[in-house]
Amino acid sequence: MHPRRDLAASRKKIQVSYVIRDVVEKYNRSGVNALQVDPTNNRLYTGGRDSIIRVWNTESKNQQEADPYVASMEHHTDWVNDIVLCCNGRTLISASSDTTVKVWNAHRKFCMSTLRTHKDYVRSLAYARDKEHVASAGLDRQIFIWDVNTLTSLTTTHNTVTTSNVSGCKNSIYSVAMNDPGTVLAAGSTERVIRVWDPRTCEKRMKLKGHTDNVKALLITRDGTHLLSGSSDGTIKLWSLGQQRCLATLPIHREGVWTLTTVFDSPSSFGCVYSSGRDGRVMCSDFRHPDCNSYVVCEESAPVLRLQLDGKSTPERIYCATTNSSVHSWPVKPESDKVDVENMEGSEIQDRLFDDEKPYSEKPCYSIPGAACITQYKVLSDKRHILTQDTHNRVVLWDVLMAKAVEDLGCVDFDVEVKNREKILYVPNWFSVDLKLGLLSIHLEERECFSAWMTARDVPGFEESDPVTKINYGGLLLRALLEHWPETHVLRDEKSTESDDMDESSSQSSPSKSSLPRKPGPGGNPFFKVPRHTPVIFSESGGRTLFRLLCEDAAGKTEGVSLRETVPQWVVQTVVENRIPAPFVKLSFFLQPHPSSGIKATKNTNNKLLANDMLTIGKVMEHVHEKIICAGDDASQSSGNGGSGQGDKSDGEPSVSDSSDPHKDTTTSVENKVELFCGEQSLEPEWNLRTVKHLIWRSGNDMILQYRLKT
Amino acid sequence: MALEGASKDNDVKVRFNIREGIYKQMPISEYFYPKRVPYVNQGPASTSTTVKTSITRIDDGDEDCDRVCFTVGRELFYFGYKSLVQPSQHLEFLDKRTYKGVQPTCHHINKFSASNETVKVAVGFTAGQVQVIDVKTKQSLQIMNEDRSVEKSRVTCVKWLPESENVLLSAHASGNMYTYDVSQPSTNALPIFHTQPHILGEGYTIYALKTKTTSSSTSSNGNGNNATTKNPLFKWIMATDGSGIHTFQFSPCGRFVAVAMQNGYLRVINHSTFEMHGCMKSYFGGLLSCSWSPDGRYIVTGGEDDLVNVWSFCEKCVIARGYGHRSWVSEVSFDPFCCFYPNDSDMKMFYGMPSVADLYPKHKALAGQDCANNNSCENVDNPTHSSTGMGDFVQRNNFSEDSRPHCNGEVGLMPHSNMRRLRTYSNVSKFSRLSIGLDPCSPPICYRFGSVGQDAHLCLWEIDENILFNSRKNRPTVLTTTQKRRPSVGSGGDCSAAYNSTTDSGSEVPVNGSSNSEYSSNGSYGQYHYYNNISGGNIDVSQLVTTAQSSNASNSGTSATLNLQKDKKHSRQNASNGVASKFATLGSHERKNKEGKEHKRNLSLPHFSFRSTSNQNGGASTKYGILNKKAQPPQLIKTLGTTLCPKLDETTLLEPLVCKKIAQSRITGINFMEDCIITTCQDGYLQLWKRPNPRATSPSPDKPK
Amino acid sequence: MKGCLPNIMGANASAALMKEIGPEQFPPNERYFGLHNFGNTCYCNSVLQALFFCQPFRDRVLQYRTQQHNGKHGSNGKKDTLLACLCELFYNIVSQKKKCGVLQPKKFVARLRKEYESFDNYMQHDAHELFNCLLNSIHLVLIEEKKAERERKRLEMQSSTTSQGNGVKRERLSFFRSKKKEDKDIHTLSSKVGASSFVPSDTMPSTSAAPDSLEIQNITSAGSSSSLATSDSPASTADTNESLMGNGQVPKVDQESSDEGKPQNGHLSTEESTPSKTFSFFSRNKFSKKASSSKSSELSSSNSNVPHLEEEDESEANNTWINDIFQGTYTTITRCLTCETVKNKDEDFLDLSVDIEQNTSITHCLRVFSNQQMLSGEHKYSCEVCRSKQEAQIQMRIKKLPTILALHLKRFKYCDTLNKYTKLTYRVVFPFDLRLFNTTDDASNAERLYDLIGVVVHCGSGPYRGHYVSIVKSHDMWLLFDDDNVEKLEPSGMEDFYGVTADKNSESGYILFYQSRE
Repeated sequence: MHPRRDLAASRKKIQVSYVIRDVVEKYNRSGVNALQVDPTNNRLYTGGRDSIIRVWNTESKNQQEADPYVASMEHHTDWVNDIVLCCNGRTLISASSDTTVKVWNAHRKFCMSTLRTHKDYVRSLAYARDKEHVASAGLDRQIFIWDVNTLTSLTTTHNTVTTSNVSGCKNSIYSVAMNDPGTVLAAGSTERVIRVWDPRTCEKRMKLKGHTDNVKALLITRDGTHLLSGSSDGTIKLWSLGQQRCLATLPIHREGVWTLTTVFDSPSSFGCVYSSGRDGRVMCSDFRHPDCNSYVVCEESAPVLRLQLDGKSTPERIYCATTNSSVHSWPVKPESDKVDVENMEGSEIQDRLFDDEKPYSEKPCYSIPGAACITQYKVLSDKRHILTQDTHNRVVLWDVLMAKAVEDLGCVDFDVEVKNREKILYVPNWFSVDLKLGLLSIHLEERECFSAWMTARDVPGFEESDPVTKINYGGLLLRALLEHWPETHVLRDEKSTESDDMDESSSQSSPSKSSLPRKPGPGGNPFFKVPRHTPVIFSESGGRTLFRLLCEDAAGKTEGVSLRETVPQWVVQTVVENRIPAPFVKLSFFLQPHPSSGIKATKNTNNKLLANDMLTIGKVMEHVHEKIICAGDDASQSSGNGGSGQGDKSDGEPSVSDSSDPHKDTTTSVENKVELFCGEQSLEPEWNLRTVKHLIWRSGNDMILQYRLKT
Repeated sequence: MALEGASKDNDVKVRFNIREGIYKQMPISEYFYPKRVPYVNQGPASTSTTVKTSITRIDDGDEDCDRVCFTVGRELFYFGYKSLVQPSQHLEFLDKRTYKGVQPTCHHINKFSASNETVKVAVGFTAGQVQVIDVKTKQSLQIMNEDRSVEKSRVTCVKWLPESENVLLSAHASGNMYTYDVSQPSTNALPIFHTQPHILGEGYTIYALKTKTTSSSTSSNGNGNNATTKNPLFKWIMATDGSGIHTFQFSPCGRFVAVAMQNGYLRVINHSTFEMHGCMKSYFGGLLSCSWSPDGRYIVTGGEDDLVNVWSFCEKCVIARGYGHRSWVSEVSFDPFCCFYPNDSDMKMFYGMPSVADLYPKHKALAGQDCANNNSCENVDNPTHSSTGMGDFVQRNNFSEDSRPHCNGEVGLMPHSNMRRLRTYSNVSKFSRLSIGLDPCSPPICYRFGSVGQDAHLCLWEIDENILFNSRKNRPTVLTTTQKRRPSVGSGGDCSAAYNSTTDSGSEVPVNGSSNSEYSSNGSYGQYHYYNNISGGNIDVSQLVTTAQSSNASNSGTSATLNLQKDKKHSRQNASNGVASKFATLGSHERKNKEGKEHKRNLSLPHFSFRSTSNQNGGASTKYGILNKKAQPPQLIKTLGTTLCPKLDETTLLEPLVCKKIAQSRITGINFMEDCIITTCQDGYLQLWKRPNPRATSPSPDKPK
Repeated sequence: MKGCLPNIMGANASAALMKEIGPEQFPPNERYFGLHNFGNTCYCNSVLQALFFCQPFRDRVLQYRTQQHNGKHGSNGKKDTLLACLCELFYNIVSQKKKCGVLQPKKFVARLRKEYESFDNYMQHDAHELFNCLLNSIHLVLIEEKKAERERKRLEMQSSTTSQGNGVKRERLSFFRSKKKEDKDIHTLSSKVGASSFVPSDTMPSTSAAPDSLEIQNITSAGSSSSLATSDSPASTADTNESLMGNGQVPKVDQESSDEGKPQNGHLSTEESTPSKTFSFFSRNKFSKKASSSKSSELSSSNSNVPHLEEEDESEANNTWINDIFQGTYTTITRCLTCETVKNKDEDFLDLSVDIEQNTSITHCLRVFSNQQMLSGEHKYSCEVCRSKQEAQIQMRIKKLPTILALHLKRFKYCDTLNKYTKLTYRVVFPFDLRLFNTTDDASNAERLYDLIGVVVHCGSGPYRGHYVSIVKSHDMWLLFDDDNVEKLEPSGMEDFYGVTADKNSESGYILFYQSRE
């Protein structure tokens, strides 16, 4: 049925993730890793940590009220680490932590192809303008050189690319650079050595030693004779590639140097170089006249991730992207303001030098606003709601199941809100959360996805349904996420009988079969839907992204094909075959009379009980009332009556069942008659066994519950 | 650190790549492999001797030929080395000796006297003897200390004095060195030295042989030995704690000897005047080797702290340390063929450094004479540099903070924060000028040196302009030395070397080589004064002071008593001049930019005169203030953080250019030849590394694109 | 096996030593006594000699003996502890009339065999293991005495004041707790030590570590019922595992631990998910403790400030002169490569076990100990600042340098192919003085200079046969103690004990003792 699935299974475990977000995410949610300017069309491209590449109109910068936002380019699933605009602004190449490199039509804003050769985060891109070659490098120590013209001519049928692989780097690469003619390629890595290759032959040319830390930024002159490197050791070094040595070291930054940019006005040397990094100071160093024309451009409040110069003929402003979500534009000193060093005396030079400790400008001339980024979260004890706080200090309550925000609490104390929502309730973990995009990403893994079984009666919003119905959070959610996938619409009756036959031997499937209503018709679950724009991502657990689609797009034909290839077996079982692979969890515990009750302890062999972990204490009370108190002290009698539910009778252990008679309204009365204790703690009837076990008993051993009669 | 990756591959390398190209190990021909010493034959490590080589170029008429001496176990080999250009055998076996009873430990070819007819080799032995053999005529010429009456401990290093035919110096594991004149007959009489030390340096003492009394005593004893004992001429006691000497090296100019010792000290001594020029200490552990740069400006050392240290002769302090070895560094050597330094005038032009010639004019006087007489070539520190000259120069160099005239005290302090910027940019400007198209003709200054160690690794290092001129920001200054040392003013012995640097007027200012008092302001000849102070039998301190006094004593001489008298003549006026100039120096050097208050305190006179009160010479001699009489164990003396031994963050840390494992066991020697590098392995063989291109060792020009 | 033969030359040898040193040079008030070998007890003799000539240790041991004799702790001090036996032995040596000779450490060996089952036989043992056990044992004796002493004082104080029923109850309770804590101490210290100092045990009694104080709060907050007992039990099983795993194993960066820690409480917290050079149990252990401690701290906050006082007491009580002499601290430094934020975590050690390589120096081995490791690929670091998984560098550096730096060279390595432990006879040189390169930037005494004062040497080719001797420095003299034989050694002779480059059989330094100069 799914021929490729075996292949998928043979790879790593596949997890399903989705992002809870708005339909349109207009503004950067998190830090901006990359910037590119298209001067002819007045466009600025930002590659964000929220996985979205956005296009901005830089013309509107003078009318502050105008919205600069033009469009989003969404297809990545993790940080966009670098972008390169090539082919005169027609094509954009992006590199991401989702291990892919993507080729975009920059004008029509769609993803043309995805290159999956990298095995780890792709950190950096380099662009040889004259040849239209782009090199991509990443933490997998690999560098690939791509011919952009080939990439853009790819079609679905003609979709193989040949690439040259530059090898020899022994450590994760954080920066890569090429000169415009594509004759020199350099890479900076945690090896602290800058390695240089000839990209035409992929042969090693040299190693440049000198930095004492990771090299995160590189620039090469057009003729390939000089190289500039910025390192986490806080220095910028100028190298002669001919002499293979460091010519100068600038320790002008207090912390790591992360980005360098310049305007190449000479093919063989560097003029004004702008640098910044962790210290947030943007420095301009004039390599021709370093004594006087160097100055502090501006000071950002957050570490600077990327600088980009903009201006018609000479640089007029510099865009500055930081770990904050907004992008600022700062004025730079015009060329005319620079000093003619040749005609100055030494003392003058010094005087000028010390004037410039202050930033050239205090305020950015223009800003592209950013949106709030979630910085903190707390999964509430019902394992369904999450409380988050963002960079604007707003606290928001989210519903994981519905994949949407429930309530915006405004600027309140996060910890207090968390505390207010604390309940004595234990639900097993069934998902994990991360904030890498500045938004909530929820991950479902086979290992724990189905671990949360609930009784419908206990779940807000599900009270309407049959109170005995057991629902599984993970199962419901998966079905909701994939409800538009045609596969899930297949009539399930025949299939389920088929699978019943198949699974007769696999013992524990039986409880789940009863849990979902079986009726032909559209997919999804009968209880709720998730927003149609929700991105759903299939990826190797903790690693590479395999496939991303929007919830609503699952109906598409190509998406359907891809889904058939990627959706892992454990998800198919649930959403197509309608089986939940996880059984209910059984808890065994001892029921003993409380010492103060005056009831004699029964024999040890007979009071071990087994029950679903969702069983409420109230039910246990009923059991105590009916089977022990009413039936007298003879314990052997209780074992005879016990097994009406799913109890494993082969063990000869009695079990307590809640399915015996749901309509019997003895609960309230029983509460008044029987008291249950775990240790010193008196137990409330609405608690369930697993809550008591995990929050009160807190041990791996079998739980001991003690009962006594209320007087 | 840099070794993370390298430690993974444990293979022995036979080639390595540097910027000038690939070095390849040549196949070991027969004579490169004189003898493999299997471990079992070596016995316990402590009784086996280090395999050593010494190589000398001898112009013996028809062709230039390098001669190689090689000792392994009991055997000494003698080869002629031919250039690698010849395809077959590079080594020509010439001679071999096998010793019984004792083992040769070290040897040295006398280059000065070597000719077609005679090649004298001095060989040191485990039992302390020194033999002179002629490997050409295969004769044994002389044995010094034959009956071990002079010294019983093993010879660790023996060397002919530069350009001397007959005088040699031997160093021993006991910490003593002896000057022998092999032209004098060797006798077995117990040598008697003057009871008064000839020189009492900081931490070392030198005794002269009591020639006359010896002869009289021997005759009166009537033991039948009628020859006057002439050897050893001098006995050098280099350590008070009995620490052994590992090696010593003469400077390229031949005037100084650098002695590397087990107690971690390197002492640079003018071997004709016995005055100590400077001193350094390892980070910890013994110093095992040292080497002079070809221009004599730098000394690199290697030792038991796994580090190589670069010590500046002019600045008298450690300017860089290199970490690359995984074990002790057994040998270091500059590669004279890969060192690029400007000639003296260029050096002054660009960097404000005094030329080597300024520092110590070359002299050729030692040959064939009793070297004691050579003290007469006074004029040691010819003050070619006048202060006005310096001033001129400094003004030209507005970019370098380092070139500020420390000696004149004209320059006020700059705000600290600005200094950093200034230095930064000045560097760039310098380099941008030099290297970004403005002056491409002048090659960058660069010194290459190699080191080999007990880790079986070969490391090649480079000191470039960045290190030479940019590394000084954290360097400990003289002033900090004083501050740190003040609590331990009571210390004696070894510490006094450090102390000297604080009291010696100007000459010890470490930062700028140009501000050496040896060209002190009034331009007169320097003179040496020896002051000694003996207390409780414990030799404590002697300060060697260069004064600005014009000298009437033509000869510092061999008599210690004379020196003492001279010391007393020392004029008050000159001394106070010296003090004043020193204060100026210190003031201009205050780098930490202390607030004025503290500043003044540091410079206050009472502090110095306090010390002078303990000095019998009174206030006039404050500058060579006596340190103290309490003999403290040397280990209590703190040297760390002083110019002797800067802290780790006070120097530049070098990373090796190349660091390769080249053998299975310890490497004990490294020699740089024009066309190859020769390494010596403790397993008993030589390795020969062919240079990429014997002719072109300079950096290749930028490749045009 | 030469040391295992009774040395009949003992007496003559001591005379020879006397002669060798010379009566004038012989240090006054110093005794050089060999120790008799009772059959493979050279492991014991070598360590005893090394410790005897470790002056701070000797002083404290003799001082302890004096205190015991003066009856300060008279009622509490048990006569038969290993420490008491050690005191007797040391005192026996220093009180000898003769300058040289041979003694029989009978009582000590007997007590050792009684106390530690593993030593209760006539087989070869690991000198390092003994060293750890000895320190551990002394530490525990001292702790116990301190506790008893404190308890006595408290009772005195109580009897003097009018006792409220409430107060008595609490005291009783806390006594019970501290008893319990003690049991745990035994466990943790031994596991710590057994794991060759690599296991970063939070539960290690430490002078100032914050986690410890939390734990104590936990203990003193009496009200929280049986949850305490239960939360303790998984932790202690983890400890046992640690000690089992820790022995002789190179710790590897283990990401599993962090992966498991995280989903449990479902939020991204670097506390739990910080991968470090630990074993997988560790973070779980820590996790469980964290959970319980945070809870209990709330409870205890209502208990006025009594717990605070006790907390200080307790950490003070866990500090003995063993800690003063041998304990140092190392910091695990994690630095995210993306945001370059640095996180530090401190751990204590009594000795450092270092991996060795052929033809290296101890300096290099210590550098390797602190080498940076990368958390990369599938083991990326969950960075709190980046809020995502990023590459990070992790490194262990010494933060507090001990007075006595004991360095254990891991010469016995499990060889997978041979299925047994083999000896690495590598030549590892060690200088007479030493500074550490692998210190943290904020270490207060980072540049302190250490002098070599003793070496325990293993002779022979393998771990199961061979011999231990020790070389010690006494009054600027080097002496070789080979069971009952004592010889003077020239410093240059130290070269013989570095190890070899080619041979199987070697006499090689095994435990190095360096003493700080200040």
